[in-house]
Amino acid sequence: MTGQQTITAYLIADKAADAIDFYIKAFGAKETGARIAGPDGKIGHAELTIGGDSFYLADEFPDMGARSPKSLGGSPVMFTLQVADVDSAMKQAADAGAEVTRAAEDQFYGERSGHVLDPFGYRWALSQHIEDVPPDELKRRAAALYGET
Amino acid sequence: MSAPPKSDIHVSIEIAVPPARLFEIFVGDIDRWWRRGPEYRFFPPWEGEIRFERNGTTRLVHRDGEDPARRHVIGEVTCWQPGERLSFTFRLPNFAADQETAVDIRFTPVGEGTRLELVHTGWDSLPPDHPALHGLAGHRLMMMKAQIWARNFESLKARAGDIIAND
Repeated sequence: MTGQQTITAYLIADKAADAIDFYIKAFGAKETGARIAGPDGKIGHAELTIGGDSFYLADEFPDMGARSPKSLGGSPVMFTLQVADVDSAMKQAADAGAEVTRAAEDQFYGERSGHVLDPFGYRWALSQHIEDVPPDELKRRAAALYGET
Repeated sequence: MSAPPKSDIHVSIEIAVPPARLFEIFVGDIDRWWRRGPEYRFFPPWEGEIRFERNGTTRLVHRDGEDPARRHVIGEVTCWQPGERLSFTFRLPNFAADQETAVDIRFTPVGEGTRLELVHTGWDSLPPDHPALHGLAGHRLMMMKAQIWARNFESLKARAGDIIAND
């Protein structure tokens, strides 16, 4: 528990050790904390960081209420990653085994973003800031896209 | 062969310090990185000094000055291989004379650093109503005990980083 964040995501994954390897390859994560495992090798707790932010990860322990997206049929949670180059970040994630669910494209609010689904059932939005959009221009673009409200 | 007890503890961490140097820091600076507080130290006020003592055998001791009443022998070293392996018995103050657990720590080189792997066994040898188990067993017991080692190892990692930065 090396992070000092107020809120930290705790991901449950089927085969958490594989998930750690994936997040390292796909998103450049680093395993920063101590890893706790049981005698069967299942991970009870691990800590990763991406950029300067931490998240926790463990295997499934159904008797403790820890179920993964695979057991639950998906996750309603999406994580967002702010990256310097979204196109190369999307490629890196796909090369590591993520499924691209929305190709990167420029958004009216000044971001270029795309979505991937990782092999463990979590969705990630990768986003690159490409433009500062003033409020009036943001309103104009939104109106052009969605109509005046 | 029967499965190992579910409460056996496995904690690992990678530290960017070579095994021989990390071993030196582990044993020589243990009082600095071993956390303070009731979860980590063995008698109030949860401070005192933790150190290895050599007198024929090597023991891991928590003491507060020279007062023998304020001294707890955590365990006796059973394997001392600098840069490779450290093993010792491990007892809490509320253990009976015939009760003990065992800690085995391996120092494995990984690149320029070390993968530290701890296995702590024997909790299942205690009676289920032993106060050291807090009414827990299996995975829940393992997680509670493992968190203490995990926090200690993260403290060791931070301390080793500070020392290496000033070497």
